[in-house]
Amino acid sequence: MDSIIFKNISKEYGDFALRDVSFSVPRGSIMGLIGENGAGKTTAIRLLLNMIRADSGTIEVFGLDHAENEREIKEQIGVVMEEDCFYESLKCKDVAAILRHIFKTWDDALFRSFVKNFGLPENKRLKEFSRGMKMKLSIAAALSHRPRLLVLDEATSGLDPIVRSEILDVFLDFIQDEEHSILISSHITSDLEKVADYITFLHGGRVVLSENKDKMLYEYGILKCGAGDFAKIDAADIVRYRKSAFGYEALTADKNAAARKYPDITLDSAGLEDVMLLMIKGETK
Amino acid sequence: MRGLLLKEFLGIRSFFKMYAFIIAICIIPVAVAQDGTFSAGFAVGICTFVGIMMCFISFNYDTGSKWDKFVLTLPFTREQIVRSKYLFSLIMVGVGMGLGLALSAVLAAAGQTELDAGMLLTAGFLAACALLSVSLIIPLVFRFGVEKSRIIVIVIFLVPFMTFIALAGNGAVDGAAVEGALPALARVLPVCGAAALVVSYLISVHIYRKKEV
Repeated sequence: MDSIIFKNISKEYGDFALRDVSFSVPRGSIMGLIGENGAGKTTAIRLLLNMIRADSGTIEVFGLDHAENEREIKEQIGVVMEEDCFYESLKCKDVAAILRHIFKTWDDALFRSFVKNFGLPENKRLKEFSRGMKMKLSIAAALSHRPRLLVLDEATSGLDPIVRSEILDVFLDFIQDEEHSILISSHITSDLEKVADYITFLHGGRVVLSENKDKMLYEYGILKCGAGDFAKIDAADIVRYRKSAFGYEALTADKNAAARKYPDITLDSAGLEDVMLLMIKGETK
Repeated sequence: MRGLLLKEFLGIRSFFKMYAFIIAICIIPVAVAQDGTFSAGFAVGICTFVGIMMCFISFNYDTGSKWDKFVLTLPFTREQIVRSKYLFSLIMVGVGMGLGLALSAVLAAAGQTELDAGMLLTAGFLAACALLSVSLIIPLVFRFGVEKSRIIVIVIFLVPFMTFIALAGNGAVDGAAVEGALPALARVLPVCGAAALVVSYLISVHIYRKKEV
């Protein structure tokens, strides 16, 4: 069963279009949405939350149409945006007081435990919080009504590695419940390599690939060679390639086959960042 | 919806201090007059105006904190979000008028002003103006955002006011006729204000349903 299903979603603006986007987030998993700035990650999330409407296609959340069952679905979703969204004059207890009246399943004790564990100052107003503190508060607020789905739009960007690591641990705790899922958009690919189960890569408003992360990291590789060896590589074995001052880097989608076929060429594993860079900047042979 | 209203009040509570400042401003002319000629309508007018401004301030805070985006991730219908803005604005106008009337009553008890029929007429006019203002401001903000709406509202209020002043200066306005029409206007304007509020709400819902944030 999938928590989220995007089916052939298209949305056109004047200067940008999301075209025929399809992917799904299996229940009990973390889906990382990657892509360069302007690739369509935030647009996809805004479509999911019905903040904007698709020109065509359907989105299902928990098996329900996301627009027709909007309130029911949103009772079960926790959302963290890139920027904190509470008034700066508020304190932690004010945020709890507001959300207690919004979510039927709000759990004060859980919120207090998050505030304590995150070390958030209870008597300070949000304007005195650091960016990391604000993000932790947003995450505490998003989790304290015990949602089944957590949606995060660039929530870890701009945070130091320590805070990011703390937050990623919270996500991993959350996903221990097999009913829970996370959709997280980020261009910090190292974070997604740590926690994501699946990756959907958007480029220019289209899904370039949507796969199991481990399978992807296991299968993709980078052939590194000079011009002579590069000329010997079959075009069919290369997804994209890039020429640099040091030679050629060619992305292959079948690392093991490439290792057998080109034993004399250096073959490295490909990280998400390598895949993303070569897909965006690379050329086809 | 209680959560949305609570957010409004907790968010702008520091602004309530402003009322203390406004009340102080209202008392200055009383101290200057010292002879009981101070117009009680002045205090009610200023406090009601601040109440109307709270509507703008609320939208401004929403935009500044990105709450206007975040609220759409919460389990509310768009109609509920619109309704909360109208309710909050009406409550703030009510609080403003109530404070102004209470201040006038205190001043009257101290012999600094009088609470007569003219005062009630003024309060009726102010209530109607407040309803019309809220009816105008909210759909404009939903459609054009806070910054543009502020300019549009200033133009809408200033142009007829300045025209009236200019005409009155040229003797083109019959003062007696205006004064004679006041009782009728006092009866008609609140009805117009209430009708405008209903129409305004429906327009705001229509705009906000289609709005992409």
